[in-house]
This record gives sequence, C-alpha cells and structure tokens, in this order.
Amino acid sequence: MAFFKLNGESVRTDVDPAKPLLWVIREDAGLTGTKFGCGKALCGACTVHIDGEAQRSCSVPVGDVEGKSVLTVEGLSKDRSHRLQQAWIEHAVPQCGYCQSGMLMAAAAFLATHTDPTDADIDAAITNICRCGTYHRIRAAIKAAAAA
Amino acid sequence: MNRGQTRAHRLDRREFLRRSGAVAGSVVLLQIAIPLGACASASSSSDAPPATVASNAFLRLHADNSISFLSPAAEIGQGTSSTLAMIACDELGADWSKTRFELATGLPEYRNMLLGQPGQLYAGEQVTGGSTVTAGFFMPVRTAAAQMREMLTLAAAQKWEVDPGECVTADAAVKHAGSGRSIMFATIAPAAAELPVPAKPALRDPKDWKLIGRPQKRLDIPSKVDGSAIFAVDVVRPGMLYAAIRHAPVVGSTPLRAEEAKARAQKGVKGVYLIDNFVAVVADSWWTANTVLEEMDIRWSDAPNAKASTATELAKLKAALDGPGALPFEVKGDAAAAFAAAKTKVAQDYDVPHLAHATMEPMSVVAEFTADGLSIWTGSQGPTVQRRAAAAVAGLPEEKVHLTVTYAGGGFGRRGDLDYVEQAVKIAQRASAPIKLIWSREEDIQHDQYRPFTAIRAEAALDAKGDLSALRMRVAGRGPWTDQRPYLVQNGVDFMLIDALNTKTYPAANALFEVAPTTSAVRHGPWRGIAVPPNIFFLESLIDELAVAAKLDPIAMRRPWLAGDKRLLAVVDKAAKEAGWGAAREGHALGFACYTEERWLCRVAAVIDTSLVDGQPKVNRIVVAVDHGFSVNPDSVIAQIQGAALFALTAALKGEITIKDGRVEQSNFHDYPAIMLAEVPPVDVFLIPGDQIPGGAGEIGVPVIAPALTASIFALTGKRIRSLPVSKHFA
Repeated sequence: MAFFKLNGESVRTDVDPAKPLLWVIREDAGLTGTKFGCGKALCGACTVHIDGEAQRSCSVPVGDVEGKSVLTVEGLSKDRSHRLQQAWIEHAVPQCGYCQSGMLMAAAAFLATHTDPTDADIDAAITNICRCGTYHRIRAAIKAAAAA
Repeated sequence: MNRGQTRAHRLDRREFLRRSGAVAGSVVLLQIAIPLGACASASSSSDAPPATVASNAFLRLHADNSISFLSPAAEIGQGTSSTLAMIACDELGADWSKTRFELATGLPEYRNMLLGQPGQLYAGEQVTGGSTVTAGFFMPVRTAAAQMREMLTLAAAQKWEVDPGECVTADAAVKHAGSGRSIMFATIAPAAAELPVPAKPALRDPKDWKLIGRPQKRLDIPSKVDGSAIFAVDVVRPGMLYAAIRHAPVVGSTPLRAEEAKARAQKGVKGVYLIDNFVAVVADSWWTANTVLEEMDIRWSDAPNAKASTATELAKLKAALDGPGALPFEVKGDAAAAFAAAKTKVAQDYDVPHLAHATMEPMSVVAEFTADGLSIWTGSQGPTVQRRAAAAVAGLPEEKVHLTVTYAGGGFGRRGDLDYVEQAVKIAQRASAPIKLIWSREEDIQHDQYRPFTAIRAEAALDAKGDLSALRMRVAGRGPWTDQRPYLVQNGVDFMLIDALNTKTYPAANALFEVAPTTSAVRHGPWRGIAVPPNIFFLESLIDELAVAAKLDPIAMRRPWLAGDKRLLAVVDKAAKEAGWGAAREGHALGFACYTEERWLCRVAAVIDTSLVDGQPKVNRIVVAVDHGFSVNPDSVIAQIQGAALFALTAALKGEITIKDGRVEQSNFHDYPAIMLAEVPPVDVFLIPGDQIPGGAGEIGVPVIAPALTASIFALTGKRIRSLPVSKHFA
C-alpha cells in the first residue's frame, strides 16, 4: 500500500509496492501524460516531481513515494499557463511530442533553482532524450521561461 | 500509512480501485476514460467540435463556423497536419483560430498524389513517407477547400441576387463588398449543400494567401505541453488488458516452451501465449506482464542465423563486392577506359552499420474485437496496409476492421510496418479481451526492422583537364523492399538500396553503377531517408577524397560540375558563405557535403565545424542551406532540418547495431545512445525560397550530415572515416 499526493490530491494504492510509480500514474490513476520510454531511467520521458525533485518514475517503486507529493505534467497547470508551457508553445518546441512531458517536468524542477540559466547550466541539468531533435528550442524556451 | 499489509497486496486492481474510491473525503483515485477522436485543436484538445453543417473528404464545417481538417497523413512530429490545415483554411477563407484537425483514414482521397496513385510506389495505399505529404496533398486539399468555398459563395450570391464573382470569403464568412453584406459560413451552409459540387473550382490566387507561406503555430503543440495528446500507448478501452512481448532472440527461431503454468500462476497474469516467433504475457498491468516475461525461462528453437555476427555479415558484404553477379543499374560510356586514361583517381570501400529507429514511443498498438469486427488504434504511417494485415490475421473482410490513427511518438519509417499490429491482433484473439501491446525498449531495439548494413566499392576519376571523367560504384547489401515488398524489386534491383546513386549531381560522362544483393541475419526496413543517407555518405565522401587526391578545394572542385543546377549552386554558396568556408578558426576544420534530390524537389548543402577536445572530435557548428521549393509553413521546415541534423548526427557519431551469435547486442539507450543537450551544437538553417511547388522536408536534412562530418574530421586530423559510426575510430 502506498498513500501519497498526486497533483495535490491524496491517493491510495493497494498495488504491489514494487510497481513503478510510472505505471501507477498511467494505469491506475489514468494520467497518461507521463510517458514510458525505456524503463531504465535512461531517457527521462517519465520524469515527474517527487517532493519537488525531478525523478524518473519508471524506476521509482510506488512504495518509495509513501507520504510524498508527486507532480505530473497534468499538474503543472490547469490551463497550460505555466511559464514553461507558454514558452514551449511560443517556441514551437515539440515535434512528435512524446518526450515533452518529461522535458517540461525536468525543466520545471531545474528552473526552481536556476533563475538565470546559461546554456551550460541547462545542458548539465537536462539529460532527457528527444529523438526528433528539439533540443535547440528546448534551450531557448527554458531561457525564455526563466526570463518571464 | 501501513505499508506492510500483505493482504492488501493480494487485491486485484479492480478491487483496489473500488476500495480506493470508497474511501471518503480526501482520497481520490480515478480511472479516466481517454476521449478519442478529436486529436487536436487550436483551442483545446478536449473540446469536441459542434455539429457538422458541411463536409467533404478533407474538411468539416461546424455550426460554430469552426472547421476540422481531416489529415490524410500520420502526425509523427513533422507537423503536416497543421501545414495541410493551413492550406485548407486559407483556400476556404475560414478562421485559423477556429481550426482543428483530426487524423483520418479510410477514403480513397487520402492516397498521396506522389505515392499512392496507380503505377506509383504505394499504389492504392494511404502512406506517410518519402517526405511527400505537403507536396502530395497541396493540390487535392486546395481543390477540396475551393469546392466548399465556391458552394458557400454561390449560395450566398444567390440569396443576395448578386454575381458570385463579386463575393469573397474571409474569417469564415462570405462577403459582398458592393453591398457591404456578409453571411457566416454555417448560416449559408444548408443552402450551399443543395448545390452541385464544382468539379474544377478556381483556386485562390497566391497573392491573396494569408496563411500559406507564413509561419504559423502548429495546432498539435498545445496538446503536447499538457499531456493531453493521445498516442497509441495512451489509449484505454473498457476491459482492456496489457500485453508484453518477447521475440525469439535470433531471426528464424521460435519458442519451444516457456514455463507457461508458472507464469500463469503469477498475480495479475491473464494469459501466456507462444505465437509464431514470440511469447506474449497478458496481464492487468503492463509492468506485471513485462516483469513476468523477463523472469521467464524460454527455450527457443535453433536457427541458422545463430552463427551470424557483425563480422560474418561484413564478410558477406565484402564477398559480394569482390564476387561476380553484380547487377548494373546505370551504365554510361566506357567507365573502364576512362579509369585507364585518368590523371587522378580514387578507389575506396565504405560501409554503414545497421541502425535502429528507436522512436521515443516504443511500438504500441491497441486491438479490440467487437461484436462484428475489429478495432485497431496505432500511430500509423501505413493505415491501409496495416488494416489489411490485421484483417488477414483476424480472418475478417477489410471493411470490418476499423483503424484509428493516433499521434505517433516518432516514426522515422518504422510505423508503416506490419509486425506489431499483427501481433496485437493475434494476442487479442487468444486473450478474448481488448489488448494494449507495448514493446519494451529492449524489444524495440533488438527486434527492429533496421536500416541495412551496407557496403560500397566506390571509384572516381579526373581526366587530364580536371573533369570528372568516370564514376564506378558497386553497392552490396539487402534493401528493405527485398523482404517487405518483393513485388517492388525489379530484376533483382531493390531501389531502396540504390536510391541516390546516380550521375545527376555529378554528371560523369562514364559511369558504371551496380548492386550486389546479399542475405541478412536481421530484418531491414525503411529508416528516415532509406537509401539516400548511406549513399550520399558514400558519394560525397568519395568526391571529398577525390578533391584531396587532386589537391583541390572540395567546393571549388565541385563548382564547375554543378554549373547546370543553379538551385544547387545557390545552396552550396549559401552554406559556404554562412559557415566561413576557407577561414576555419584556429584548431577547427570545416567539412562540406551537398546533394540534389529530384523526388523531394530539394537541394541541400551543409558545412560542419569540428575541433578536437581531449582527443575526441567535437562538433562545434552545423550550417545547412536548403532549397526545398516553396515552404508552406517555414517554421515547421526549419524545425525538420534542425531535428534531422541532430538525428543524423546521433547516427553518424555513435549509431551502430551489432550482432553476436545471431542476436542484436544493443538493448536500450545506454548502449544505443542518442545525442543529448550537452552534445548538441548550434544548427543554423538557411532556407532559400524556391518556386511555388512545395518540396519535402522530413528527410532532406539527414543525408549531408555524415559526409560533412567525416570530411571535417579528415581536414582536422587526416583520419578518413570510411566506416560509420565515428565513435569506433576514437575509442
């Protein structure tokens, strides 16, 4: 059993505590914005915040989030008003879009501690994979959001 | 909370949901049904459009004067759903802020004009490929929108008793300037519906375009920043179960036994199936299904391919290059005599490795048998071929199979294949429940339909005057069509192995081009650009080596040969100028490559700047100049070129699938890595506006990258890389 907050709401799961948070979010909570990409914490498509920290939910057993607060892309804002979502739209960042929930969540955690990031700061902190190659626009959008 | 309650762990998911929901007050756990159909809209992805008041194959006009564009192509990130919607909206005179799109399939109108017509490569099929969507639907979409516009205009003119020629459409209204009257589309639509559909409507004059040719925000992007865009992996059906799959590790092998009873006894497992060349586990959670499968001890049958390795595959290619039996596909003049008389010549072997697609969304598909048919959901580049394959497996007539195209988490040519769709149908047949099949990343990397491992023996000659007197090339490998579409292989020549090997860019008077087909231990399929990226790497590397042998500047040497192609010269000059050709910074070097591709109506040139950092080549900047004809949505084109450069850079720097004991050695992003932010150089894209015909954008950025990169590394280090990827030469 795990009892935790998901996008501000308290949830309880009785599933196997070894089940990765990713699959609890997707299958049990029905929030499909968080994506499965590799299952080994390599690509970052499943990035969520756990108590404000960006984590790869495919490799976090749900038992480990007991009492913690989980934020997914659906919880970033109710209306795409988060400054990163706005910047993502303005810079036309996504192509296929599959990695972008994870990118946004990684960027959101990063911006919480970096008010005026350089390219080098961004490059060091955001290690998610995008096969479409939207990286230039990701950098530009993060900087625009930081300045917003 | 109490984490040690073993009793709770035994609860199945339904019970868990019921209990969770039953807890009062602050505890909420929801199972949300995902709305399907409306994939995207300018305002909100969850807004269902109001009633349709007029429609044709490509357009629905709704009661609120909004429109839905029915996109005949997959949305794999290339943005053509929005590009084509812009065309439709502009031609109709509708309101862009009230334009949405849906991914459509099923009508003959959705056959691409450049691919799907009789006599073409995919005759009769709806296909997203070959960078042909915008070009192939430019006129059909304009025509369909103009038909609707003329009917709305005529109905309004009749109502007002004015000349329809005096009326215009804009902002979803018909307007008559003379009288100042205006009527909204939806209001006049019922009268318009009574009129005959004009066969040849007049198309709007390009000078009156408001959207076409001007950068517009893509319609799918809002849904891709809030998690609401629905990919196949996100589709949920009532009573749906999850399937994980493990393929036989060696092509040609099949499962013999798999501890099925033990697996079936695991909590949550609903079925274990040995089918064809794979084992599937069906469970109430994909994680359960995959975990049980990973722990399963499966005995596979022996297969001859188990002796294959990358070394044996390379030996096969080399033997084909050395041996007799190569098939000529272009012969000009007397290449042998020209080589004998040459003043300067080069002869080298090159090869490129197998590459996986590694789309961010692994192969995924939902299959559901209904009372009288079958429904499929997948992000499809080939919905009609996949539907036919599903029908064949199910033993149903095609019209009983409904395929819904979802967003695709990357395609790169992979999502027109049949394997994963056929598998989902077979599993759903056995499980008697709707099935969501998701391949693990390991299955996705290890059981792809790879870009072929290809080798070439390439020779070029300059005569005494410095003219390119001869090209001789023999390419060895197994093209993707040889197995996937053998009816397209003519006289043993698989076009998807030889494409772009010709004398169009470099008009040598004497040429001999041959292909030496081989077998392969793994399956091959189309990969972004198919044969063009490997063959342009071969051809451009050879030309660069020729310049070195002749002690000529690589661009200066090419220039007279390109004189007949002003568009190509223009992109060559632009790339050279913007990159500062001839003036590399201290410790840096520049490499160049270009190509012309008539089918994609494009000319591309690239210059790449590298330097050495800790003994490793570092890419400092990529400059790409492109003329791809007319850009309907220039920002989407730039995004494609930027993205393609990085996709190709990943491949050139580190992309390699290797085989040992018949098995693919790589399995995930740790050993089949993709470029990440820290390695991303600036990519500066310069669009040179061409004529009014739109060209392709999705693939053109790929081919120039590997040859420009290796030319740059040669200029930097004197080391010529003739076998990709670069990484294996800088261990």
